[in-house]
Amino acid sequence: MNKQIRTGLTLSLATLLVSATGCAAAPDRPEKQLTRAETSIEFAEQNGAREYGASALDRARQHLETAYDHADQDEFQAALRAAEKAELDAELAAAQANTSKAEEALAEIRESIETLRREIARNDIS
Amino acid sequence: MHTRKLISIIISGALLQACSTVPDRIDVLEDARVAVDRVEQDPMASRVAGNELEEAQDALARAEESKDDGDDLKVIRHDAYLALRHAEIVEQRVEEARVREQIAASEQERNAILLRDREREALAARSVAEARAAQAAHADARADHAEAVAEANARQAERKALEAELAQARAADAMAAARAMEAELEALKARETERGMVLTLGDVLFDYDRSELKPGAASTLDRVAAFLKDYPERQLLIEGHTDSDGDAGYNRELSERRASAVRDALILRGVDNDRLDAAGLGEAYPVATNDTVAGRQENRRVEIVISDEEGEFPPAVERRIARQ
Repeated sequence: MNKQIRTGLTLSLATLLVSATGCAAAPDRPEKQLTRAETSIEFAEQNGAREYGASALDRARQHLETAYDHADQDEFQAALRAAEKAELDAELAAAQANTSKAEEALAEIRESIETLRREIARNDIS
Repeated sequence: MHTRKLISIIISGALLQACSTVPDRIDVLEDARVAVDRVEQDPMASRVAGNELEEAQDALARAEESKDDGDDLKVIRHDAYLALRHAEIVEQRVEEARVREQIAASEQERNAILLRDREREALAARSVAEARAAQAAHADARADHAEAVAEANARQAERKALEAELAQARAADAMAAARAMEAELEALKARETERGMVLTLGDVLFDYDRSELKPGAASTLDRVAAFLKDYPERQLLIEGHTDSDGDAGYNRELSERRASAVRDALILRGVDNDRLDAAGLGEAYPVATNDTVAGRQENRRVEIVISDEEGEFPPAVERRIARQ
């Protein structure tokens, strides 16, 4: 085989192998995923994640920043992955906020029952 | 031979350059396995967060496959990270669901307490109302009783007042009657004697030695008749008397005739003759001395004795009549 054909073949094989293992860069900037990540973070914030899911929310923001950094450097695959992580962390933050709010509601109603019992006990005596 | 070696070197080089080696233990993958395992054990997980659980399981499967295939570490880590987060989200949703169940149970509990308390209140209110009603009824009964007693007292007082009035009226009547009779008797110039009320018709009412009544007697006899009508229970004894002049027997006869004349005059005036008894007593019962003219005139009289209200005369009168 001549040198040119060998180089070409090698390169093609290498590229094929690299692509197959997923180590190649994505062809496009992941706009859709970045938007979804943004939206998820916003939603989480609006639902009290800053108070109840702070760590997950922080992670989400960090991941999103990383995603934009990668995207700026045309590292679109990395950007995509970072944006996916951001979206999921934001979802987790929102879920934590919901749980905490439910726990607060439970504490409230239990307290109101105690107050009720005290009131009734007081009236019984009188 | 040369070419094959070159290709393998380049391939290995390419592989080495682009992807790192996969270590045996990847932390995030371990965490993901544990987390997914844990939520898989929870029966509520598939019920409450089925989709999320699936995502976790899928991501974990991808990560495991990538590891087995010796894929890029970044990729393995990424899928493991996603699997872990998905599993954590499932945990959150399950926890939330459990808390909401407890909230529902607490709400039921609160409602039960409120309901019990309201029932108890209603019961208490009802017994208070019943007690008040009983009290009111009792008060009513007492009021009624008091009213009845008051009424009875009032009626009794009324009755007593009436009785007093009646007694007073009767007394007044009796007094009036007595006065009236007194007045009449006074008008008749009747005197109270031991024989009762006695009316004396004087000598002037008869002519000398005659037994016809003169007109002057009329008004007196009218009054006597009227009196007898007013007091129908009274009886009369009509006694004729003379002075001692002349024969006793003759005097007795004359006195008898005069007494009869009076009786007849009264009968003529409507008095029932059963009520009249006439007798002549002659000169036997003088009221004055016969030695003087005036005395003798006094003795010449007709006496009308009025009985009591039962028509009785005292025994002295009866004896007097009987003796004749």
